[in-house]
Amino acid sequence: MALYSVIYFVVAVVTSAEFAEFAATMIFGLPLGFYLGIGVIISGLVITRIYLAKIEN
Amino acid sequence: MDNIVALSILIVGMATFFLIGIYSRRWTKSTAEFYVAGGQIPWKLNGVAMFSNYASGASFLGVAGAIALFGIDNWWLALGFFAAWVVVVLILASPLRRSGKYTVADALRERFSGPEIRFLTIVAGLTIGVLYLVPQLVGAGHLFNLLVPGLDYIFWVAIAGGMTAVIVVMGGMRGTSYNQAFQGIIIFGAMILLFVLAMVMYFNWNPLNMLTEADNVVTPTQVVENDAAQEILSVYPIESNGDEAMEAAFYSSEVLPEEPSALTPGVNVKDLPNQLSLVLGLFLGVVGLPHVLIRLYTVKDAVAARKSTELTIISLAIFYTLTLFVGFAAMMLLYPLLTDLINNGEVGKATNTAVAELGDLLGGQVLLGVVLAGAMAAILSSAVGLLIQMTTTVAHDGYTVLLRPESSEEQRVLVARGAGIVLTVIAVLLSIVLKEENVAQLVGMTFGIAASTFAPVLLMTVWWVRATKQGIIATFIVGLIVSLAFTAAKYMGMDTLVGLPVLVNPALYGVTAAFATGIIVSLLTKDVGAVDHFMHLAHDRDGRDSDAGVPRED
Repeated sequence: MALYSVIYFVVAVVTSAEFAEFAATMIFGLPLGFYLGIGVIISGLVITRIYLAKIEN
Repeated sequence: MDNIVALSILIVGMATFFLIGIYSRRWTKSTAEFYVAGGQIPWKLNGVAMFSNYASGASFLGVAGAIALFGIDNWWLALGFFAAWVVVVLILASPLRRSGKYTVADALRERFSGPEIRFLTIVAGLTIGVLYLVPQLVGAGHLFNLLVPGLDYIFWVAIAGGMTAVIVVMGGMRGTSYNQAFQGIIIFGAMILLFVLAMVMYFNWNPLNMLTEADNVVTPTQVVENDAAQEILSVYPIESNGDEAMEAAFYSSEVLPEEPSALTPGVNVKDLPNQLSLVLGLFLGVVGLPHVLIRLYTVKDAVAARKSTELTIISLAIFYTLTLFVGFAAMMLLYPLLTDLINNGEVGKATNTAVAELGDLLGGQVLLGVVLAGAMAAILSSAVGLLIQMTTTVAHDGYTVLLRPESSEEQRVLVARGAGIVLTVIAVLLSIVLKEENVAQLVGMTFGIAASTFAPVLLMTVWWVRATKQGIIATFIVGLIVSLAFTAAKYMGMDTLVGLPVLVNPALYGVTAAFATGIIVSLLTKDVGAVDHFMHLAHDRDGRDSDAGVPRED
């Protein structure tokens, strides 16, 4: 939960107006902000799966 | 009448919702059945129902519509909605399911005795429920009034309210669950259809084209702000087909070569304090929404609750990712239409109807009908979830526990049904009175209050052994007052309140004040309640991973 909170709020800060230029950096034709957004979704899925697997074991 | 095929599909969908509610009536004889379907909803069905409960009209139409108008920055709403579910799974789903019976108040009562906390949960639960239900009905009234001209706002509000009451009063939680699962399939299917058809018909079967092409487009909003709308509309009128609309979209970057593209982050976001307040409200808001949490009690044990929430998370991950692609597809394929609407000051209409217009463009009347049914399903699904939560709060937490513990099963179910009807009438009347109010502000207020009240109360109760009854009560009161005060300040157009800037969402102040108060008061007092019993129950300290199964008896 702590790890996911860090990921979520760091992405939120990076995509705020103050850091917009950094979020707009293009990587393989798409802006960094897009990858960070996808990262929030994928990391959420992975962390959830790890958590559930740990509990079930 | 125009759109007869689309309307027919919508009516068939609504008739099915109605029949499911009627059919489920046979299972609503006992309170356990009415409140939580006897804890016997299969986890897969519950997972789809939770997805549907959560993916309201705002998610189905609003997020993609906002991306179509404003670009990638508005995807943040979808990311916030998604991340909030991860929080629910990681820190609340299992302990809450193990320690409660019907409602969130039950879980709190396992640790703290006395009526005070239950009374506060009733007040906050009903406040949040009504504030969230009213915008669903207001949204339904405006949306269908726009999409189906000729039938006015009050008609659609009454239809949406009436359908909500029938599903809940007749079908109880079981009928609500079946309906929400069916509605979830429609919502998800409609979004998938829009994505696939747009990709196949206009983007060469490559979803990434939908994003990379958007890098050559200036958003319709920026075009209007730079007074370039007429220049584009004079070349590409609003009657343009999909291919011409895409040419219009690309033409925008020729007209405004210095403007950032629709794919550029940071064009439409606020400063850091506003951004943090918004994302905090989204992050913790869901943790504090009782109508979402009540679904954890409808499955047989904590394992099933976790499986349900995981299925919901996977569905939400796909759904909210697709909203980005569908939003950009709508922007490019409806470019002249959206530009014209924004240029005429009809931003709300452009946002709410973009997905429906995209359906009409891609699949004609049939897909428009599916999108309309999806929109109604999304609105109804959230509305029935809210109404059954409020009904259970009144009938169980209020009538059964606080007022008439000796009442019979029949009396309790009767009160629940009556509460459902009365609450619906109140919500419909409020929706008519608040017709002109900003729906987004009402929803924002709900998330801010939920994040400032239920969220800190639940997190401290479930995870902090030093939390005291006095601390929890203080948290509730301070969180409610601060979040309401800053929401009211924003609503009244104030720039500052007690020297603090008024932000887009009250969560930053409300959550901070609530947690700070709860921690300080808890450290100054000693009544930690039945903490050993509660922690043993919530966190299964013996190492067992399931609970007794069906809801426990008092």
